[in-house]
Amino acid sequence: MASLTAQSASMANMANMANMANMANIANGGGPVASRQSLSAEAISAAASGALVLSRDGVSGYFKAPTQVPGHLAFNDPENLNLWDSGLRISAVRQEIFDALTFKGTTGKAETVAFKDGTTTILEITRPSMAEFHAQLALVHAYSDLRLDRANEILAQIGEIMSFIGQPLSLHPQRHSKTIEFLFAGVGAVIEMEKPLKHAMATRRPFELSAQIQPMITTPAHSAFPSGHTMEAFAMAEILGGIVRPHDVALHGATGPETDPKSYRQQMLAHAARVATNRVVAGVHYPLDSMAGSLLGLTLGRWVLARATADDPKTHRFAVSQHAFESTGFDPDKYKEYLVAPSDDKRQEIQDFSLPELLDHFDQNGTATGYYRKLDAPTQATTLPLLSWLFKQAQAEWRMGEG
Amino acid sequence: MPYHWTTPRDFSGDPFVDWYRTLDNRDPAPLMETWLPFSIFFPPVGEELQFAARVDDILNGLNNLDVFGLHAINIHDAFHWLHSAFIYRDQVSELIVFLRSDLSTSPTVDLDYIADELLVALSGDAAARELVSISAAGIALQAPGLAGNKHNERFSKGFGEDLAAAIDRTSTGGAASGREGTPMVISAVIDHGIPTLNTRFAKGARSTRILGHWVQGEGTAGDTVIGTEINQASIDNELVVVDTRPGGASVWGRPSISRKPGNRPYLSGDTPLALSSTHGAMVLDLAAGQDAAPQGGTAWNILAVDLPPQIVRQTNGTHLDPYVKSAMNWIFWRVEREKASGHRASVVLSYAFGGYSGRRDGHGGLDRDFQLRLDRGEITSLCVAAGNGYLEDVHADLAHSGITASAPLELVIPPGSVAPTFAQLWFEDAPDKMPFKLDCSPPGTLCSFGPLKSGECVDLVSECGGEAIARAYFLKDTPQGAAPKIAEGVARGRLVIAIAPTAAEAATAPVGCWHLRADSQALPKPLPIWIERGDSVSGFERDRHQARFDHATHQRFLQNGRPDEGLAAGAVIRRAGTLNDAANAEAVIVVAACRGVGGEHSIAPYSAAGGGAVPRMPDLCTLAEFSTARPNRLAVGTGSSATRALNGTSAAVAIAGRMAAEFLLDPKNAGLVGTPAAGPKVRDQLLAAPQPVQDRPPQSNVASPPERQGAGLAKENFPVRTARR
Repeated sequence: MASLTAQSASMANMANMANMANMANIANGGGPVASRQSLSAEAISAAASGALVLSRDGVSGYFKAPTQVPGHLAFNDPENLNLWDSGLRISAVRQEIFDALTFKGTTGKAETVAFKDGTTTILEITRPSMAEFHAQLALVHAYSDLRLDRANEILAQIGEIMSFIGQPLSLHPQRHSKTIEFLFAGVGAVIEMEKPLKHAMATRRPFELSAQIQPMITTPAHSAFPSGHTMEAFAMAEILGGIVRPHDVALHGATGPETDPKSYRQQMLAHAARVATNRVVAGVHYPLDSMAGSLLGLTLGRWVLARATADDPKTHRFAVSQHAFESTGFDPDKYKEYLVAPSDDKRQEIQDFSLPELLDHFDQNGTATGYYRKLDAPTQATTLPLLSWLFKQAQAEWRMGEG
Repeated sequence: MPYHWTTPRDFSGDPFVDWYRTLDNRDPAPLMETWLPFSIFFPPVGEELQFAARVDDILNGLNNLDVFGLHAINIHDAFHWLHSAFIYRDQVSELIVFLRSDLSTSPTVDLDYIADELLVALSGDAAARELVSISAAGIALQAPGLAGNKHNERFSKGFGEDLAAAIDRTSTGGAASGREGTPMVISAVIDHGIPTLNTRFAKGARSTRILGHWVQGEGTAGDTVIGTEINQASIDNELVVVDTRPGGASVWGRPSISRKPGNRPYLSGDTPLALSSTHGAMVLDLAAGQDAAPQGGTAWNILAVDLPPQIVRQTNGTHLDPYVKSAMNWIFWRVEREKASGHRASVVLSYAFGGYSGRRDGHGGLDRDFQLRLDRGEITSLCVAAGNGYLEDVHADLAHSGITASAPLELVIPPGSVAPTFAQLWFEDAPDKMPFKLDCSPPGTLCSFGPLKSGECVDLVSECGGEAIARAYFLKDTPQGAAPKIAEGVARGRLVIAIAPTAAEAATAPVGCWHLRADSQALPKPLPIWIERGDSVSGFERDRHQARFDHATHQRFLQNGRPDEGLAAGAVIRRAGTLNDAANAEAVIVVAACRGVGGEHSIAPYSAAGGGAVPRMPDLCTLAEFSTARPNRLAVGTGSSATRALNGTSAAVAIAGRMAAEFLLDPKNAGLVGTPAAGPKVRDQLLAAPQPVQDRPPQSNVASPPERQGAGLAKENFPVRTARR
């Protein structure tokens, strides 16, 4: 009888420990990162944990503290992140980004918000008029021609786009683990920042403006503008392009990432553009959402790179590129008149998303088109230590052999 | 609902117009108005019917042909005849104008010039546009500029200039130099969705083999004709951009060429190069794609014409002929310029379009034109697809003894189709009057008409009133293109039954089994009837469906679920006689499709047959499919690195076109290029030592009849890589 009681108590202990292990996992976050954490260290089965308790009881003996006192780990040293679990590392790096970048309204400009690094405006975005979105319905309808052709991609990209953007790099969870970590930190921050922006912009989805759009997938419940998929895809492509830049340059020359369509960066940006277009084809976004999302993704991705490389003389030091997205040249009133009584003098140009035009603006200092505008000349940033440390770790995964 | 056939109350009210307009108005996108709505269903010449005062001479010409009276000019037929009148009124004249119909009311455009027949070749670059006119009065070439294109301005410059001088002045080298240019084999296609910048059509990263690409469907605001010509230099420029500009080719190819006509945004119905695979990409790749330059000194170049998407979408081909004829005019003009530069050139045209209905006696609209061009040597070798209609149940013998009151021929009208259905009943002779009354009844009714006299027309209306839901008319069909030599062909009686769409905003026809039965004791035999093609094609909205015949004795599927591919010759519904209606000229090479698995070859199940009421048969077949499990041939997709699997007699005809081109490219045959002997030699080569092709299961151990395979499987001699492509 006594032994039975002891056994019951032991089982209860094991169950408790199992619960604790689960809670630790939950605290570390969900998704793919969480599954990696349980592989790494902290998770342990209830049976194994109970066994460890018994084993220690049988081995450790009477407690006596060591006689020597060691030194601390270096204070606030990013190198300490080497010792961390990857999920917690990602949290720490991501929080560093949140501390540096703020999101707020722009004084004196209606329906305009900005991302700022200190006092420097990185990105300023103004909500287009309702008429502009209305005018884009014709394009959304036209793109529906491609639904059957793009269905596989559209469905796959509902939940996951890293496989597409990273396709030129063939990302591997073990070989490129730090690269993926950096993406989770950098793009993860962009994903979080996109939410208050969408909240502020509060634009209607295509299905709300026309009963005939009839999207082929469930329309997300939040604001259409800017496209979140596009923002994430372009941020991911830009950040990955920065990480693999030495490899890219070795293959395509010093300016290859900016000028060669066959470079890794360009190929990834092309995938990002296709993701953007697929969302329009599906009927859940306007091309205008893609235009804004792509500029936002590129700009924030570039800012992450700038803050990660600012103090490293051994790598390409990215500069902060500052941009604005605002409507010019579209007259909403004339457009409304045109709908009632079409005439050439009232016709408004309806702009479609175009990757070459975007890159002409972003990379080549091309002339400003309808919505893109540069704010200031690129500026050098100061480093974010944890972000910088993780970037070096990631870039080390892409070293090219000498000669 | 009770219906009855009746004489139309208003002859000028053509239900076809309304039906087409219904289609036209389905897409209200404001940007579409620049040219699409009118030119879809009212190609310019058709639109001219609305301006009779300006085209009196044309209509008089038609009346002289005695093809129809003034009672009912159906859009469905008018285009063919009008263009016949254009082309053949004078053998010197060759020419077709496509004018944007919205400009017909423009104060800046004078339409009188239509009386002077024109060939228009336009460049997308306004500064380099050309306007060529050829008439009995001489040859005129004006460049640049069609903007502000009034009649008087157009002809005030350069009119009367000698053709040779005009060609010489605009050619790349100049005949006057006496220079002997490179022998040149030109593979030409008239198709849809041609990816101009695909590297399979280049001879390097920045240099194309395409001499010119006429995108007929990509008009821009301000153009006076339909389409834009993209010349070799501008394609080269675009290739440089694609090769160097960041993001340039990444998603769409260059927008100005492939995606956004005139740099406007993508619109529904544009050339579908945003799709991963197009018909034009497949056909041109199989006909002329290459990874490396061929051996020898003969250049291999390409001329490509993109038919307008609105015309391609109209699969019954109502509006196809004028565009194809224009395309051949343009090809002729382009080749003449190369010849003027000192090149000896042979042209191999692969034509993979067509339909299910027509004269099929060699005197149809395109048949006559194909023959004429081959006779003149404009085209060295012209390969035409046999067609894919073998199993479509679109052909029957209305005089068959099995068709009785209790077992009529059934015309199955599909639901949800935005296109009208047309059935054509052909007579061997040209009676003044149909020799029978025709029971033609919607489901659940019994109504009949006739016998109609030539030129008479009846509409099917509900006794409750409303618009006509069907029209039937009987005509003497004059061989198209015979004027003024009308004696060369035989006029034949033709009864057309047109049934409204089943999904439309205007009149809609009842779906289901309509009954057809000729009521006479002495029917002409046979009395062949065909249904025009009416399905949707790949890459287009799937809003059209194919009507078909059925009968009490017809078994569409065998007990094992396979289609009944071996219908007996005496059956009501016929397999023989399903050959493509554009594949009946004597001198073209008609190409059927064959499947090759493990060294054994059998005819492809869909590959159409000649014979029966159709005298023409395929000349040969080529390998359009490998494997039974995944029958296809690999060809390029729209992207340069893409590979897609496709089949059909479209693939077969392109393979034949490639064989013809590669024969001429052989260094041993360099002397043949550009000579009159080239065409016959190509034919001899393709028909040399053909392999026998087996019939389809369950008769797979016997030879396929000549009505399907022609002489047999032409022997390919491609490298392995190309063969699989």
